[in-house]
Amino acid sequence: MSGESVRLTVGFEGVESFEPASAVVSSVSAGFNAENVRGSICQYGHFFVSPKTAREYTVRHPNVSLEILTPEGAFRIGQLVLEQEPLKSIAEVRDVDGQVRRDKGHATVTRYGTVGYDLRTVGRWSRFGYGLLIAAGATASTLARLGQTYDPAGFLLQTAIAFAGIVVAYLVVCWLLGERAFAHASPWLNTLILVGPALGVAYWNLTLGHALGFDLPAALTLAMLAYIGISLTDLTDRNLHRLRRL
Amino acid sequence: MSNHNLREIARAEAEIFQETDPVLVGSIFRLMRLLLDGEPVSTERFASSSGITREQAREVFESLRSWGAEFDQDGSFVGAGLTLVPTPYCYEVGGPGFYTWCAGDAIQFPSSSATSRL
Repeated sequence: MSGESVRLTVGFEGVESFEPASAVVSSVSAGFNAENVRGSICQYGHFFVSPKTAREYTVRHPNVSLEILTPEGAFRIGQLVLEQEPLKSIAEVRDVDGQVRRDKGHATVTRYGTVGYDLRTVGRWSRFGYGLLIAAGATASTLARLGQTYDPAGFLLQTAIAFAGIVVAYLVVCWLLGERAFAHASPWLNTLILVGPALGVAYWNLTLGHALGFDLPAALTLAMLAYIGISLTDLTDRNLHRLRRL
Repeated sequence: MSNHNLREIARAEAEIFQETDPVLVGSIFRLMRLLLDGEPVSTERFASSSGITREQAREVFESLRSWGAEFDQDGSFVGAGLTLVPTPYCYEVGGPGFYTWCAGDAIQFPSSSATSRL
């Protein structure tokens, strides 16, 4: 405010340096107005080269609740604000493995009922219902085929191997593309990545496969249906987070 | 200043965000992050990065305009806390060109963004 420069270097963990060493910051401590943030808070937040010049400023604004802070104190306030809602949820993003990590400044715009974001309660239970139907259908088909095949144990083993292969394939895709790639891609593209291959494999034999005379192994088809069904019926937050990404 | 007083100020600041539409709060953070590319953020860019339609992005921009965010003549976002519009508070991250609305923003922004330098 006196026209002299104050220079700081700030990192994630705190203020690393500042000059002059006597520099302080003014901050409004009460009377915030959410509808006029700049007018009620920002216009009184200044750097000062010394506590003395800061006090002269506060004297000139007797009707405003002002505190004089060290740069470290001002940084600490920012940290404390980030530890409270709603910024806490914005700054924290849960990894697929369930661990909370700090994703500085990351913000996700969610809109109720928007496909690819969060369909909330209705979407969750619809997903569960569809998943249950698909998984039940896959199980029933598997059991029916077991009765028709000469080698039930072999067919069961093939289905299990195919299922494991599908799980590995999806994990590899997630690993290669990374969570951040999914997070920033269009939700429709992510949905296509999840549903496209799955539906393609599951229904190939009923559509093009039959016409082209090239049927996929029944075990692979059933395994893919089972994978889709089980994925959709998993309502844990971890899986829902992943499904939102995909 | 005591740690208690710092907590009181932080609590009061957090209440501002609690009183604000959560979509707007999230949008402000995303836009500030996009702004770090050094260019005004258009509705198209915001829409594609957020996975929302242009119309939804325009609605968010209109709400942000009422909230006090800054936009250029083309209607692109240029600032809210962190800004491309010159102020007395220069903010250097990967080069000059950024400013903040106040001293507190300049100090607190690195911990709430992907930047590490002031």
